[in-house]
Amino acid sequence: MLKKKYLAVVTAALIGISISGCATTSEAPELTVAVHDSVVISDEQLAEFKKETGITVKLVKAGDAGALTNKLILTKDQPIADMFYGIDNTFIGAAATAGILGDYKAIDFGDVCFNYDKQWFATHEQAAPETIDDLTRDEFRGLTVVENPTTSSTGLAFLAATVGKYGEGKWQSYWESLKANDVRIDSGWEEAYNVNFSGSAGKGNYPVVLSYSSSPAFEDDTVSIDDGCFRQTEYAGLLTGGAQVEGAKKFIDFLLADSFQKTIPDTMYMYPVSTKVALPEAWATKAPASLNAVVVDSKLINANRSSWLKTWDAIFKN
Amino acid sequence: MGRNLQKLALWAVPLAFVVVLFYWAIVKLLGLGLQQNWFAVFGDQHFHSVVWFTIGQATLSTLLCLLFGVPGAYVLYRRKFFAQSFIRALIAVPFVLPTIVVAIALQTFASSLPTIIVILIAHLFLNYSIVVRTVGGVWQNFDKEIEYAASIDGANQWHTFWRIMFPALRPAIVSATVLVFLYCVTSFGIILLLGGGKVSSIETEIYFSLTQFLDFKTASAFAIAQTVITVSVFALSKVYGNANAGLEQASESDSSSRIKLREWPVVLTTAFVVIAVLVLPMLQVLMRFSWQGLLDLGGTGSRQLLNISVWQATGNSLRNIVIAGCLAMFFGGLVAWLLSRNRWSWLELPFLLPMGVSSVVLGFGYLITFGAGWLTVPLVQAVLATPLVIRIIHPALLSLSSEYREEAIMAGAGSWQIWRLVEAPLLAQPLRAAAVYASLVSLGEFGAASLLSFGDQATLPVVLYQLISRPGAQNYSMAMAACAILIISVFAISMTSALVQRRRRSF
Repeated sequence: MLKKKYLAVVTAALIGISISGCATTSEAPELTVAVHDSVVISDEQLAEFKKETGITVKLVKAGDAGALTNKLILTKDQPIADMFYGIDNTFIGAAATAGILGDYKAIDFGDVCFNYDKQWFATHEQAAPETIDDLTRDEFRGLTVVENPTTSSTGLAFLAATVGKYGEGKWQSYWESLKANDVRIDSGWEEAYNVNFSGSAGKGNYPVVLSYSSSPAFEDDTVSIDDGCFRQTEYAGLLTGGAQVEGAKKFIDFLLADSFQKTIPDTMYMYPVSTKVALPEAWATKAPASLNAVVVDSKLINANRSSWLKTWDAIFKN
Repeated sequence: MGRNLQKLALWAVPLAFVVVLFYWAIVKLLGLGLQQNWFAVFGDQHFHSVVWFTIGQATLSTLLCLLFGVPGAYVLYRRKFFAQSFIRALIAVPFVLPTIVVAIALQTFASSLPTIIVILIAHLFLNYSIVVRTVGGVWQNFDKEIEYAASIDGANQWHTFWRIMFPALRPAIVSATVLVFLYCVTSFGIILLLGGGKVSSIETEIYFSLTQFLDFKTASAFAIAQTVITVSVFALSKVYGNANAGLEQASESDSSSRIKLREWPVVLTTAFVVIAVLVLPMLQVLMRFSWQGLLDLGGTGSRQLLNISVWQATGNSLRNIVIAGCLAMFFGGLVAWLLSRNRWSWLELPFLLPMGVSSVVLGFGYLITFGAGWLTVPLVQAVLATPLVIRIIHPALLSLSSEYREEAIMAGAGSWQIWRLVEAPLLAQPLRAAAVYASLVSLGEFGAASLLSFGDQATLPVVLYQLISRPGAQNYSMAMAACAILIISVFAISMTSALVQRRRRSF
């Protein structure tokens, strides 16, 4: 009896599959855009784009920037999208090497910087750190939490920044002193910032955290340290397997237009590449972009990421 | 002759299922890795340390589960006390929770402890109920008379345990040990989050070598190492203790007696584990519940983090449960039935292998082989759930007395009639248990889903992971509200089924 029921359900499921398979092929063509989870494009903006061009956009969120890139690479024979938005300079090199990349343009950027909890340093009557070198000094022992570069894009960005700042062959000793100064390593940004950072809602035990230059716009009494910041640039571009080349180009133009660029800070916590649009008030006063961010070549990152991470791993596991 | 052909044809159905949906994808991924001098990875020092760490933590976790689980089984299934069904229902909850939630709960709960301790506690949290329920199920059906007779003959309790009970319990203990060890060897979400990157297991190394570097060579070497470990464990379990006992669900029984005075150490240990390791982390999550978080579940999170609302993701998960559950029940049931009808017990192995193979590897294999359609996730989950279904139904079929069958055949009954009139009613309980476990695998599966389910096809654990690992108090409160609902509903279901069982028996 039971088995009969299951057979019926399986048959029904299989019929359902074939029906839905037919349904998707008969739909009108649309522009499928693979994006990472933090990309925000509102329904109004998509409606506006449709009014201008007649093209319906379907956003597919495919994980963080790394997951997005690798999914696009792995599915290049059966592409899941016509174009992408959100691959950054730490991964664009991998996409280029894999041969999935068409033309692409920078849309927005952010700076990975240390933040500190002003309140904590005030109550402990201690001066706050001003440089990333300060974090290796004795008075800041056990106060810093950093994301693991092997598990977190934020952590990887800072690792690349230390390579850029100190140079190949010298960055290792910086990390050794950080380790000797009892730095805490968390697997991801959320855990570091929302659980262990004292200046966030989590009220953790660490007053210094690796976050973004924009974070103080959202958390009172926190300050970004403008030293050793990594500039992360996000791109939008065509995919070699994508079908809708013209539509994709129009959409990239749309992403670069003022009407979209001005929404980037509030919705994506990033800075627009366009210099024509003004930053929101809180950003302009509390969370400006870093003035001397470290820029590391994306080809260099892609070529060395593996060996950097292995070295980093060796430092922290011994 | 015709019979044999028919049987062979029947075997072809589940074999085709597992070959296409498991081996093809795995071979395709390994094929990408096993090029150049891939075996060089095996000589790597890092490789050795990862493999030994994985085996070491799994061994310790398993020992811990046995150390606390066997006394737990005794207290919860062999003895009778107030609120017992409540506690039994309670300990089943962690097993169902997405590992990502377990990790977050234990992170806040035990962040001051060393990493390895937190991982061990998390594994105890997740797997305690496997040992308790598997061993407890056999224990409570163990004839009280024998125990009683032994004590009259002057055997002390310890003696009774080793000489009489332990041999009877051994298959269940071996079976639980194998399951827990395999879960801990392939543990992904826990080590990913709680390890904080300071420690890495085979599974997380596979994940990183693929997601960070697309390094198929290293990933394949690790995947092979994991499979070798898995198969060895299966082989050992076959040698020691004929571990055919599956995950039997224990039923209520009135034969157990009250707790004796000298048993209090065992009772207190169990109480400690239940409260400190199981209840407190769950309370951590419940205490973070907010009504606003609940209301927000209809939306897509702050800054449109999700493609779909949490409710829609729940819909996806439910749909996957139905598809994966039906497929696993059908193919798993068929294999179990075929196994019980002939002597080729080695034919079980190709179907059990998915249980010990990295689900991350499987996810990547699917991505390369089948792309990323909506059906891929339930199919992977069906493949992963099938071994569990086999291991629950097969022992139950074996335990059916063959006398019934022979009598029925003598009376002229056909296979279908025997099944319908004799076997099905007796199998109702294990079938239900198998369906429940298959659904649980589908609901909680994260390794493969984290790669395959995205966009508007995201499943509940994937959505929870997104909410928990992204900025925003709103996302956090949504995740906590969803987890709290999960905990409460899982507990409610667990509780109700216990009550229903009890009422049935009283009729």
